[in-house]
Amino acid sequence: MASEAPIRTPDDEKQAGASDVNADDDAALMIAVRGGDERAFTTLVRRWQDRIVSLANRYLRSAADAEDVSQEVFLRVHRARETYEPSAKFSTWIYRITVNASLNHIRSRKARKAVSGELRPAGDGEPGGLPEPADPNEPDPTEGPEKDELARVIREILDELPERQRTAILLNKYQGLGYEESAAAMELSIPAVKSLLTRARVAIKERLEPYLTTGEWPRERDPRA
Amino acid sequence: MTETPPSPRTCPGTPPLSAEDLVAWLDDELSATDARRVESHVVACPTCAGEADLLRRTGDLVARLPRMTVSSGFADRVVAAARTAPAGRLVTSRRWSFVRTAAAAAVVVAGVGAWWAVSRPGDPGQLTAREEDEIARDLYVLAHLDTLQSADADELARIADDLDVIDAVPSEEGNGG
Repeated sequence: MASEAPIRTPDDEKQAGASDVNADDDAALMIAVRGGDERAFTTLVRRWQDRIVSLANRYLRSAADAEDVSQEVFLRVHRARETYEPSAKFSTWIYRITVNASLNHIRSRKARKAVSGELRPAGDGEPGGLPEPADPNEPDPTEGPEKDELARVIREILDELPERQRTAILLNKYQGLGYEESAAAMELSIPAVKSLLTRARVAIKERLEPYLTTGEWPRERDPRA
Repeated sequence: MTETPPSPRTCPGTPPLSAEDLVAWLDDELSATDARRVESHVVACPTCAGEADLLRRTGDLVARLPRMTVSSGFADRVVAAARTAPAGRLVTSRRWSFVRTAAAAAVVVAGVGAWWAVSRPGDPGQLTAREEDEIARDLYVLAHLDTLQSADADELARIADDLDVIDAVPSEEGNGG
């Protein structure tokens, strides 16, 4: 089953100069996949699997679901090899597929809950009819019981953000996409993404401020309560 | 949580520095001219300097959330699925488990159905059309257990769809995602 990896942030990769190299390689690999090169597809999957599964898991909070959705993402990439245009940045494309597949999976899960009578009452949905986050009681497979308490709190705060804010902050901070690339992945304008990111950042900051300023949670404002 | 305008601490500057400019400056997303303007403001404004520090640390915390490492063999499974499911059928481990469970359940259902059909009083051996359909389906599973257990992904998906036990899989997408 999936496990927690050493943390390597998008900034680390930028400093290592990996992003630009990967961008060129990804396009070349997709062209090879288009030509029927199975090894190129294997390389592409291995290169992207951790990032895609991690992003899916941020929405789904289930290692099994994240891997199922990620498999679907890679198969969509494979199916679309004939129509792939190198002009489209591969990272933007695969992140967009991942976000859409994750949200579709949440909708399916929500529909199944509706059928089984587990759905929460109408009216508590997110703006724009977007899906509910995953069950907050379900543990995140990347987080341990105590040492990642802060990560758990941040995860809960992210879950409470409106869907577009959550996607924007995950793409920008968690996956390291710039504003332009985040906007392309979300099919929004750069100003719109800039606004979403600001709202998300301020909302998270306000929830974390007691911890950020004192290093511990004041009892009366503990977001874990 | 609803979408509300960003409301950082009130900047006392004239003009006040917007939260969007502050965040974009932290993210290195401003033009050189705007970056110098924001930087000059932050240096002279303790309120915005404090806000910038909190927002920067917030971004760092999100960036450093734990990552997952996929289970061993994930890439091999994906490549195998791509090779054997050209029409886009997905057979995940969960769906395969579902089919196996359905097959096992069919054994029980067929047995109970057969027992009930021959033992119920009044009209022995007479089944409704629906009962006949259900038993026919279950008997199909029974008769093809070996095939089901050894079927490749595409065949398994076809059989499962024929048995009407698996939802449709999303259709193929192009570059549009």
